[in-house]
Amino acid sequence: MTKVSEFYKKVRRRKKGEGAFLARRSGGERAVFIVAFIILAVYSVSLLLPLLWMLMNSFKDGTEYAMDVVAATTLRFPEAWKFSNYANVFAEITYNNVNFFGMLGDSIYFIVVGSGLELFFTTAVSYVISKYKFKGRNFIYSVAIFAMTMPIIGNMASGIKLRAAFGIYDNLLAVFFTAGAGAFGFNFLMLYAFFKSVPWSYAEAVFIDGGNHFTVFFRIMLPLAMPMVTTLFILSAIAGWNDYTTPMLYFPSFPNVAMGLYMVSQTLTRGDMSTYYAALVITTVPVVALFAGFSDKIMKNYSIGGLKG
Amino acid sequence: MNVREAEDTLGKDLSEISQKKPTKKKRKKTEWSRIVFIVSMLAIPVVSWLIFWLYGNLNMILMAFQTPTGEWTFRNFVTFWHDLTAPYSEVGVSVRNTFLYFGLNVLMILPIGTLIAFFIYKKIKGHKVFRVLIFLPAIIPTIVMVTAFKETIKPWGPLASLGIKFPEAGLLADPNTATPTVMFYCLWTGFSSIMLLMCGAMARIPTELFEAAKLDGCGPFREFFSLVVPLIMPVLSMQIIFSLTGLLSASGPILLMTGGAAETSTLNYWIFINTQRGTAASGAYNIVSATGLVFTFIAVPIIMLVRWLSEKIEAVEY
Repeated sequence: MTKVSEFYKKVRRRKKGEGAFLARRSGGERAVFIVAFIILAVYSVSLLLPLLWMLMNSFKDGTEYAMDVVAATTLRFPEAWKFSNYANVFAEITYNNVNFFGMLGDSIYFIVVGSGLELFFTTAVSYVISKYKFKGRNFIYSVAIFAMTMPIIGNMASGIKLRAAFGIYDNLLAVFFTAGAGAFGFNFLMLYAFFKSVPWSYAEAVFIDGGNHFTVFFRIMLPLAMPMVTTLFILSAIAGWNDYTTPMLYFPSFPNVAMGLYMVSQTLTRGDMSTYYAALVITTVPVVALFAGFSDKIMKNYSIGGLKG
Repeated sequence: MNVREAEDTLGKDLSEISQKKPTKKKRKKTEWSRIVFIVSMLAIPVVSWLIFWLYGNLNMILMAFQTPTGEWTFRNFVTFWHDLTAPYSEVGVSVRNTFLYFGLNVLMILPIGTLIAFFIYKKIKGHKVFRVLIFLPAIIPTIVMVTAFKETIKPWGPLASLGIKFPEAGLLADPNTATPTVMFYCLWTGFSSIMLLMCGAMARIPTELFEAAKLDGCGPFREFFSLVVPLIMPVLSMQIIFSLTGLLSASGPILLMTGGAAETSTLNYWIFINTQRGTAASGAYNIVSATGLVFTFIAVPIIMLVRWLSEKIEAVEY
């Protein structure tokens, strides 16, 4: 027992020594790191300041902000904190007869139904392509890779025409028809690599128990892939929340929050700005909350994306 | 779970089961259930892809050679050429700006982002906080970041309150300052994903190499240029390709910044806005398709060349 604990102590000591050796910095090196620290600190503050300025002004009365603009004194706390700006967002912000609730609803619909379906199809396709041998498998894989790296410019007009031909232009049902086409994107590669690493013996065990291929996928493989699928879903949810071009092109009557706020911004007066800032703050909260809850997973996923080849 | 574990759970010897040859009928049934599974999993995505990706893109090629009413013509390409070569041409400006942004990405954002990643990887004081803060622009909606930035540089914004003077009309209204301002914004918010990707790449470098470098008296600059950069070269070259495809397939913050005014348009933005505001009957869709087709034909060989060159760079195995 003592031998074992002594051995661990030794190992721990050596490990500590190794880390310290790399972390030890000479005089010149320390100077470089101090300069880098100052630059990074200034840069980080510069990223935060405009956002904090906006947060502060979102609590001002509309007239107070307008007067601050004239006097160029917007960098000061509100005289009276007007929390009602945040309630007004839901009453005042409207575009094309869609109010802020409607915009939130559209955003959630595009994310849950649109991105959710797309990710489900991606999971299904990547599982079948990575685990089943059949004619055309390699062909589908190569075509997917080819399509991914081709920079096709200017196919938006064709997309609108095609949707119009199917009667799904500016129609929320369109996501049911187009989600499948998104199954061959970059997420496909990630999930393909994941399923490749899962041993097939799991499936064999299910077959012995009398299960079929669907049982294997839904009861074993999908739950196994769930951590990765969740991360990919959060990433696409953040992207979908911030995307204003897709609804502008294909769903003009169904503005999500990002598109709606851009459209509203075109007709604002100075007196409206405080409420508009409040709307921007409300829009930021869900993504920051998602990020705070899953930051480790998101960061890990981003670095995996940089794998060689 | 492997077969042995399955045996333990089931309490039977599975080798006996597996040695029993399945009857012809049973084999046929298994084969059929396999086919049904594969087809039902692939059918919807494949059909949807064939229609909305493949036919959608082929249709773009056809549209480039058609009038709004569907007759064959080369007129769209003539119009495109006139648009490109006319003085003060918006297409010309868009092409120039697209190249400027590519230069910005490759010459500024990529190297500086890699350098930031290096310091964060080397655990500079506060690296965890920096990592989160620098990643924020990738999370916060573009409409929020852009509005915050635009207000910051207005004559009444927070910087003006601190005494910095800005032109009354704003930096984004003057063609001389508009594009540099948007480029500054892209630089200011551009390090998020590069930093994380590079941190990931650096974390895969074995620490022994850093120890050896340190024993040889290597300073941080030498370490960065002679050790880190060559080792993460494959990731760097991949990023160059991604930044080019990204520029061509997304219009960035142009719409929110200026709406393309003051000579700030880029190629993708020009196509986006002409599609969004145009109508099928006006012929705008056909001209947009022709323009897209021309630039796809220019971009594909460039991307292939960059890929080929990056493969030529000897990959370091570690």
